[in-house]
Amino acid sequence: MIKKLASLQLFFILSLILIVSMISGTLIPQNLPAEKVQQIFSPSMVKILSNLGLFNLFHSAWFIGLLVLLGLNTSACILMRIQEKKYKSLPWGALISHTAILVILAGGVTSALLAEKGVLELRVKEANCCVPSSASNGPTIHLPFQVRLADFNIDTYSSGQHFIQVKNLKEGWSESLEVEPGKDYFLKKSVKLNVLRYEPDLRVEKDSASGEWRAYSASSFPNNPALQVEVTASPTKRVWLFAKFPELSHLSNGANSVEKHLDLLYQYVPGKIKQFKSKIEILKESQLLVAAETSVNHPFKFGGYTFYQSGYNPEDPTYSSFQVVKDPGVPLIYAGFILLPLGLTISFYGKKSHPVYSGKIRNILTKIFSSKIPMSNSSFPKDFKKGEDNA
Amino acid sequence: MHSFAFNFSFAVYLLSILSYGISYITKKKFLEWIGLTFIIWAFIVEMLYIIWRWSGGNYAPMSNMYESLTLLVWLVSLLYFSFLYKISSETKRFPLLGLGFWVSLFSLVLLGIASLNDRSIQSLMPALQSNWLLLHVTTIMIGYASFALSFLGAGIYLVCFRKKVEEEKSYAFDGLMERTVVLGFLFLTIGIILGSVWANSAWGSYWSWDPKETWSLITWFFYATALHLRKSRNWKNEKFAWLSLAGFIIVLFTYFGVNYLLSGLHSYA
Repeated sequence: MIKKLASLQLFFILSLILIVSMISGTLIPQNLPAEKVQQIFSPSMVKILSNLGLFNLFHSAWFIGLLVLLGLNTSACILMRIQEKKYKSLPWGALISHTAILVILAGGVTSALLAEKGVLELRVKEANCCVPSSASNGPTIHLPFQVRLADFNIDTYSSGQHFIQVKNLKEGWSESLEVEPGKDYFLKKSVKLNVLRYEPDLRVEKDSASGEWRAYSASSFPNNPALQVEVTASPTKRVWLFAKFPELSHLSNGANSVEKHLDLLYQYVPGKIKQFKSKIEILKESQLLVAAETSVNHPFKFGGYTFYQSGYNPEDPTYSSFQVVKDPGVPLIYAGFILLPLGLTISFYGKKSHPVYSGKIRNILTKIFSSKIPMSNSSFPKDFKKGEDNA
Repeated sequence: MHSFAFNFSFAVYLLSILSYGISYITKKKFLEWIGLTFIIWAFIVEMLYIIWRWSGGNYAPMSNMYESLTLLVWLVSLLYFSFLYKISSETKRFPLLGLGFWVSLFSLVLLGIASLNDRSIQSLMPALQSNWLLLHVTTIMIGYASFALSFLGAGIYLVCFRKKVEEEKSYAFDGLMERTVVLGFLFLTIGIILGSVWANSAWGSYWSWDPKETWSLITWFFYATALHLRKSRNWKNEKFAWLSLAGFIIVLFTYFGVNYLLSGLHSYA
């Protein structure tokens, strides 16, 4: 039984099935809502694919079964290698690399069974200790402390780009140009465009004393990007252009165009996001325990949980979201990650490797392992070389 | 610098192909050495270009298709020189000298594809602002470059030595295929691992079954099977050449196909 389980033939068959399955998993849309799936496939096809678990292939029972079988195949192979005393020496490289695969699979199983993952959504000054699970029907994570979002910042590489399209309906010409606040632009037929100022989040209020309208930005976030321009045609006119409200090109009367036949359309392209950072505080019974900053690639760890900066809302500058993870499988995964290249390197370039791999690496590995690895002439036993069915 | 480096490399690879071509027709061996010299020139200019781009952008130039292709071309040349030196010093002859023609042609095609992409130095998105970028992309690209050489070696093997298994050059090319697949497999493994560790530090998930990840694993399984077949079932020479060709087709899909046809976490690459 164990010989059959350890056979290379089983590995080849498993490998082929896994490759075909994984290709299917990348071609068939995964984890889509039922409505979207029905838009893509016919009802009969949906039924067949759904019954086969192909819409959630990588978490389906049969795919996990294949991985378990791969683990059993690898385990049996390792046991066979150790038990077969006739080989006299153990092929350490192969043993370590195959053990690494087992450790990685064990880590994956541990993660699948025990990991807690959720998304914590907060707004500035808001605190919470309940994290909804990332899995569709997963339990809510109840943190033994509260997480408060003290501050949130989005850095951009530039303040954004401004484009204006000018259309002359009477003469039938139009011109598009990128503009910068504080600069003049000359268009066709002596039309001059003077870009006066830019307000990222324009608000207007009436001054109670003077009774005049005052324009200002409520924040530096481009919630309501607006450009004030002066158009010198006949006559000269000052207008506000709104990227999000193109129909309101003038503050006072809401007219659609600067003149009867001259239309202006403003488009704002936000600057590319450089980084987004959250200042978070860990509280217990209203007492501050820790304050820290977290950003993408710089997670924050506390109480066995790791907080990963994961999202922001371009419409709401106070919103920040975090992936909250507690995964006991990670140490196993990382152990496997260390063992796998080590095993492969010994296997390929060690003393017992194929004769073509001579050289410095082999010499170094020989020095390290020579006291532990009994010497033999070949990396594979004689009958193995002939094609016996053992990995 | 963009245009100079690109045009120079392109022209030099063309000259290299020309030298190898004339050498093949006239049977004058020294022209192969001239062809090799042209590849060395292109290699040096590409290296300077990568350094210039690195200093200009303040990050390792590996963040998009154009940059990774430039790195790949450079690595293919580097590995070609390494294996040329290694196998020549072992055999005391130069059985891989003619491979330079195919290395030049392959590099020329890659540069052509690179030219279709945006060459400007772009600012990095938050997820890519990490030292893992350098480690992950470099190791993966060494793997791809190694598989590319195994593909070129396999092509030559199947065309020239399929029926001449006993020839010395046939041994050299079979050895090249094995060594490059082994090196590529090792670096692909390390690259996938580094990418996984990076994903865990950026998003808290070491594996998401993203199309790029999945296709990398498909590539890994394919080459693992190929190496097992070679070691245990004696699939050497012609059979291993076919495996190398098929493996590189999978690599190409993982590298290009996934980016353009399937959406996922690596869509920017």
